[in-house]
Amino acid sequence: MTPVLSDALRAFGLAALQAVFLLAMAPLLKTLIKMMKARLQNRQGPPLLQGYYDLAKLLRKETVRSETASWVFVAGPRVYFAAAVSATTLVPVLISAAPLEAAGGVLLLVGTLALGRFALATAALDTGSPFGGMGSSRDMTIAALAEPALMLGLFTSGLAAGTLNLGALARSALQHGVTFHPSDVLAFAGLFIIVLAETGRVPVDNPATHLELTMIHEAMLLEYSGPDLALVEWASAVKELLYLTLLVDLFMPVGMATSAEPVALLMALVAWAGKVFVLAIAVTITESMNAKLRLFRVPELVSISLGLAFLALTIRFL
Amino acid sequence: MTSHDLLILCAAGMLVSGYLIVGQKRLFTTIRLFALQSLLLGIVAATIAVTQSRHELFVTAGITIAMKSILIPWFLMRLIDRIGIHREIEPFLNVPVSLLVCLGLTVVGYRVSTGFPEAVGGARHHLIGVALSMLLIGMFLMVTRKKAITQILALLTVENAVFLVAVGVTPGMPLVVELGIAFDVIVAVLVLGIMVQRIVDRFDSMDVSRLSQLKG
Amino acid sequence: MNLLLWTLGVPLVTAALGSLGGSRRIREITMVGGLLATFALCVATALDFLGGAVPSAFDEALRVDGLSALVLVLCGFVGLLSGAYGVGYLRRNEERKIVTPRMRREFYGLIPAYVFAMLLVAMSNNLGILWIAVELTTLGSVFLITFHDKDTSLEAGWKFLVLGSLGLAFALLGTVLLFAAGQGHLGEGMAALNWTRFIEVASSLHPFTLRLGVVFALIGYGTKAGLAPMHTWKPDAYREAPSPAGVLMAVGMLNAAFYCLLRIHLISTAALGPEFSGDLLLGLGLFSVLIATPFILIQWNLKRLLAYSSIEHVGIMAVGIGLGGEAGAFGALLHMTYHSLAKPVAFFSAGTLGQLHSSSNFDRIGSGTFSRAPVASGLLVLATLMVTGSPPFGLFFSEMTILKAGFAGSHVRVTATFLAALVILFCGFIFQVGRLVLGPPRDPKDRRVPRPEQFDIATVTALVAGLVAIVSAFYLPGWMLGLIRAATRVLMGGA
Repeated sequence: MTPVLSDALRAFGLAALQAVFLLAMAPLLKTLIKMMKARLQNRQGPPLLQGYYDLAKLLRKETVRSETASWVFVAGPRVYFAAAVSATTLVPVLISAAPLEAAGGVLLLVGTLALGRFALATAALDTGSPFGGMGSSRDMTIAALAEPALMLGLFTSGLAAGTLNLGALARSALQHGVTFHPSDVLAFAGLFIIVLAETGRVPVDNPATHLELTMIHEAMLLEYSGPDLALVEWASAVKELLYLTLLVDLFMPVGMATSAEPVALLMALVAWAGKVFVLAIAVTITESMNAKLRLFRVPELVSISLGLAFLALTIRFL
Repeated sequence: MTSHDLLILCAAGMLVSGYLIVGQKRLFTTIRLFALQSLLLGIVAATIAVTQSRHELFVTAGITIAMKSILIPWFLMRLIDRIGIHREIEPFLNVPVSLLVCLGLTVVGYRVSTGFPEAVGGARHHLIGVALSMLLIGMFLMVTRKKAITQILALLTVENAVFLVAVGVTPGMPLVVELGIAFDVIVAVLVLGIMVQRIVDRFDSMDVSRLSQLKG
Repeated sequence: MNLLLWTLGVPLVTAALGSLGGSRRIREITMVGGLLATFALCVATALDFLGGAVPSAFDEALRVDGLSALVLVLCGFVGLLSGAYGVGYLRRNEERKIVTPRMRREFYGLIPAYVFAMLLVAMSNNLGILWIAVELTTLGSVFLITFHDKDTSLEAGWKFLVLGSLGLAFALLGTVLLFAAGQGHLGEGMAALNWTRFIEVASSLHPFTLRLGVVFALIGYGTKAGLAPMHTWKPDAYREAPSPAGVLMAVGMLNAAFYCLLRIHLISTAALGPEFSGDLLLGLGLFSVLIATPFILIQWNLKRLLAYSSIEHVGIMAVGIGLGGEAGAFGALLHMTYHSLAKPVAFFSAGTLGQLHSSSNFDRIGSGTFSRAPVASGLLVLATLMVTGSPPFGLFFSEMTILKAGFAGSHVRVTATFLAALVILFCGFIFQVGRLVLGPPRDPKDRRVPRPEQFDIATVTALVAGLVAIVSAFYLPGWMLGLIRAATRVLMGGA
């Protein structure tokens, strides 16, 4: 076996492992946030494994599709899921290198996620149901603003390290130690808002309701049932975990393993879980303290994050 | 994390809260953000007090946190509760344009800060840069906001900026002066609060753009 | 006990007594007596200084040099006049039954307190205390402006408070930056903010930080002085404040704020040479004079007219300082002195006219006031002649001194513009007042007949103020001239 081939095989192996790992953890995160939110409101909240139960239930159910739906409708959830899974292989999680980082950096990541979003939005349009169309138009409106902000925020971090490769970014931060610059804080604040927007959290969207006037993400899913719905829900959960991991990678890489030794990996796992947990708490608190914005206000919120990200980039040069 | 990092973290946090105030339309959230900003200012003062062993700065930190992040926000919130006004801010400029303007102001503030001694790079540079940016942003808020309470908040933002310069740049203002200034600030806010109350009683609104009888 | 502490203590005690209560008679006597004693103490302090002493207190946090002594005497004098006129003013309002207990308490308490704050400004050598004292005058002014509790007075009060607080925040930043410019050379503790210390270590101040600090401080204190473009609170505030308080603001606060400007200017001069802050003052001053011109021409309210006149005058003083040189400085200080003597007459006569007609709007007062209120109208004409700088009154000489300094120096074009603006201002002001005072008498069938003019303590005060102003044009007492000279020496960098 040639070394190139073995390297490639190893990378794919790691990628598969990481994808499975994130797929396994994602429902847990979703339930965790739900539970903490419930606790903050003095409710009992779901058990920690509820996310898995839900997915299992959906996967067992029969699929019902509209007679007017075309192949686009069928492809939507699959592409969305596939995009989320491929994106997991582009982000370093426990080891300071993404499994497939040779394939590309930040740009590929954003592009992959955008592909998933596109697939879901077109699929929602396909059935011709008014809610689906409304949901996808709203989702695209927000995405049009959120994506540039996301890119800008990522570029700011990339600028400091001189690379757009997420693994290299984390490695350079680990190597040189974390030195704070105000632009880090600004970029973090900007990206945090983007994460809230992209994952449909409270100031932007409310994941807990199906109120037709306000819903965004949920509106696109109304026509789906059974395993199709499970795929979308699962992929959304993975996306959320992925975004939080991204924040961890960019701003607090301390504790990441630099090699695949078991002890280092274990430490990295604890550190990663801790950091994601802290971010989850932050998300929960933001969700509980704020009320959902009116839809017309959402672009304003996203424009704040765009402004912060742009400022972060500017301050680097001042 | 070193104290240097902590300083930068807090200063940048103050700037972020300034931007969020600009982009925010809910009065209560704005007040909470101001409280957060003051808390960060207090932490900056306390950090400098520890690292440079300037113990009189603990007093400054204490006063700042007690007054500006607890007492004044509480007072303003009570004021809003009591006069029961419409709780959204209506700025003259929309949010994206305001943010763009503030971005420019930050650049100006940062450029000016490079003229200070030992300012290029390092925590001091960022402290002054953030302070001057916040000063300009506060002034911008003052001219673009209609509600009396938001004007008070803008004024307090400017004052926070001045305090940030005071703790970040000077080798320590005399304590007597510092106490006098702190006292004056709280009295000024009380007087402003009294005025707001009287304006609301009279005009049934806190919208200061209605105060436009006097011209020429 | 220290003379300075007495000078500060007496008005403070007077304010406390005034706000406590008591019968009207006792309160009136306390206020006028207290302010008279204060003025006497101010003069005593000035004489003490002229005798060669440098009165100081609290480790030189308070210190009286020539400039301080001049401002002290002027502020003390204005305080006395304002108190005496105020007694009559309030009595007239009592007759109209529009005085509430709150107003009495505020009036008898705030006027002496305001005098206290002004005097504290004038004698503070410490930039921190200076700032605190100016802030006190601001807070006092707010209550004086909203004294009548009308819609418009709330508006004026709010604008003043917001703009004034912003200005003060700037001044504070300026002070902080000045202190930062010291880079440790200023030393530790309270004395580190002393103005004298700044002058001592001027050469080792960090230039950039100093420049920034000077700009912020000049803008900040300039807001309080009413230099354009930070003047917008002034017309509103002057219109709404009761006339005695208007005098305190138009003369007392103006002098005090201008004093702050001079202190900052002196630090800047010692460290950077006279050009930097001088040119800034020149620009602001000229802009003030130019801004005041159109507004005086189209004015519709008597007290607002006076406000624009006071913007003009602070502009003239700033121009005098900005033109530089001993002649310019002397002219500016002379201008300050004569302005302090002339402006009260204008305010008192305008106040009386306004009270008689229940409004100071031109259309409510109507033309031909001379037939209705001869004393007040006569005084208004006299005051107009004085504040517009007509010969033979004092402001004519001071303006000439400044103009001469300007044409002799390098700013000839600026001076020419300045002169043109002064001429237009002169015509505009005379036109406005002439229209009001002379003109045809009001239609006798008009039902809004004003109250007849009374002869009371307010009228007496106004007459005395007028007399002092006239006499001062021809004869300034030797010690007064000595004070102006001493103040000029301070401005030229002497002791």
